[in-house]
Parts: sequence; C-alpha cells; structure tokens
Amino acid sequence: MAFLRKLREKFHDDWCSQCAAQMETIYRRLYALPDQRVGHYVSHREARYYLDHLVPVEKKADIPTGTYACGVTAFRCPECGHRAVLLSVFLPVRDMEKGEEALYFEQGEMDALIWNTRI
Amino acid sequence: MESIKKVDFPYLLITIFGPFLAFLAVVALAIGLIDNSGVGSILCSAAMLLMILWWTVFSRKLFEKQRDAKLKELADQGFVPNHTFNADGCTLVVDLVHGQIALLFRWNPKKVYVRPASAISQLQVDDGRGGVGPLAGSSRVRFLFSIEGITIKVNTFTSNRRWRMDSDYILTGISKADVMVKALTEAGAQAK
Repeated sequence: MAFLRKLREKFHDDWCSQCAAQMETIYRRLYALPDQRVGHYVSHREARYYLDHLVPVEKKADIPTGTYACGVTAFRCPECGHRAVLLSVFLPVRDMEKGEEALYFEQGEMDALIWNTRI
Repeated sequence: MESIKKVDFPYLLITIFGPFLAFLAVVALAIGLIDNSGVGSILCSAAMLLMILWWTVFSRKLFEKQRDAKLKELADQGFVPNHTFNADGCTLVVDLVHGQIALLFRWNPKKVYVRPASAISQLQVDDGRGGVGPLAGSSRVRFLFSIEGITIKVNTFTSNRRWRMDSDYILTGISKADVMVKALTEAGAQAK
C-alpha cells in the first residue's frame, strides 16, 4: 500500500480515491512547521499534530533557515463530491526543496485548519 | 589568552601509537615469559582485538565522553548552548545570548576555546560543487570561517561518492551549514 501511495503522491496527487476523476483544487496555502528542524525531522501521520503545529506564512522566504515547511492543498471531486487534503512536508533549501513526505487526509481531519485560516 | 590549537600532538601520537606499543609489549611478554604457547597466542589475539577496537570504537567513545563533560562544564559556567554542531573534526557551540562561540577539537579534546563571535571572519558555506552540466555534484558540504588566523572547516556532509546537487544528502548538508552560518552571524552581531 505504501508503494501505491507513493506512486499516487508522485503522479496523481489530485485523483479522487473514490471515482478516480481529477479533483479540483479548492484551497492551497503554505505553512511553516517550526517544530521540525533540519537534521531532527520526526515523521508524524496523525492530523492532530499538524493542527497543533502548522503556522501560516505568506511566502517561503518567511520560513526561517533550517525549518520545515508544509504545503496544504484541499481538493474536491466534481463527480462525487469527495474531499481530500494533501499535506506536502518539505525542507526549503535556498531556491530548492527537499521533499520529506506527503500525507492525505480524506475524512475531514484537516477541516479546522482549512476553514479557520481561509482567506 | 591561549591561542587556538586544533591538534595536541602528544595526545594524537598516544591515541594512534599507544595501543600498538601495548600490543608489542603483550607479544614480547607472550614470547619471553609464557611457556605455554596456547596461552600466549590467546593473549596476543586478545591484545590485537583490543587494539583494533580502540582505533575503531573506544577512542571515539572516549572523546565523546570527554566532549560531553567539557560542554556540561561550559554550560555550568553560564555559556548558553543555543546551537551545537558535532562534526568529524570539531564541535562548535554557539551562544546567541552572550555572542560567544566555543570550539572543541577531536585531536585536542582537553581544551575548549571560548571566543567572542565577533572575532570570526570569512564566514561562508562551501557546497563542494564540482563538474559541469549533468555531471555537476558534490561529495562534501561544509561551512568555514577564520578566527585568530586559523581556518576552521566544519563538514556538514561527506561521502565517498559524488551526489547530485539536488539530492537529499546535499540539500540537508547545505541547510545545516546555512543554519550554522546564520547562527554565527547573529552571535557576531550580538557580540558587537
């Protein structure tokens, strides 16, 4: 399953897991993850951790050197109405990014984050 | 103020050749004093094993223990270790509160050199980039600076092969070096 998940993350991160239709992006925002620093990254898969630690930022330059960032993208399927949130955790390094992991939340776990900070 | 010395030569020589001399002494003892050749060969084998373990494991463990004790002693004296970076050859600790740095070297572990961060010059990151086009890559990332005329080079990543500049290893090394350079710059501004 991990292999299939990685394939999906790499090639079809916007495919609906229910009907395989291409989903539309309804929300996209960059967050800093000040709790995670270079050389000390610890993987977390539970939504609560991200709800507690993500800090919204306007642009990548606002993230301190050596601090991890997280791109949050919410999708909605136009066919079946299914919603999913993709969290892409990465380390910004100058003008490049070191991808760490991508997580999907499809049960509304990240709704509090998205609807509270939506601008 | 004592000048910075990266290497304490007596310590270096004892660490490298001491176990070999001890091994020779055991061999001489086994040949000259022990009649039973079986016991002698067991002693020689044990001595050789200990010698190899010293070079590969024990000397490093001893250094790490000495280093940790020195850093604790330093913290007890009021030095605030905001950033600590342990590299192969040296340990660098940055105190952002007092604008100081502490240096401790692998081959001179009995001395900790504390200096104001404003004494640092030529601070930079070296990403080790070599080659051109698709062959561009690096096998080492480090940050370096000069202090009291001595250049201190601290590796954040080393490898025996060349990695692409966008590989995770190189990016992590660059990020670590950037963090330390930023901390040293901030400490230098604090010291002034």
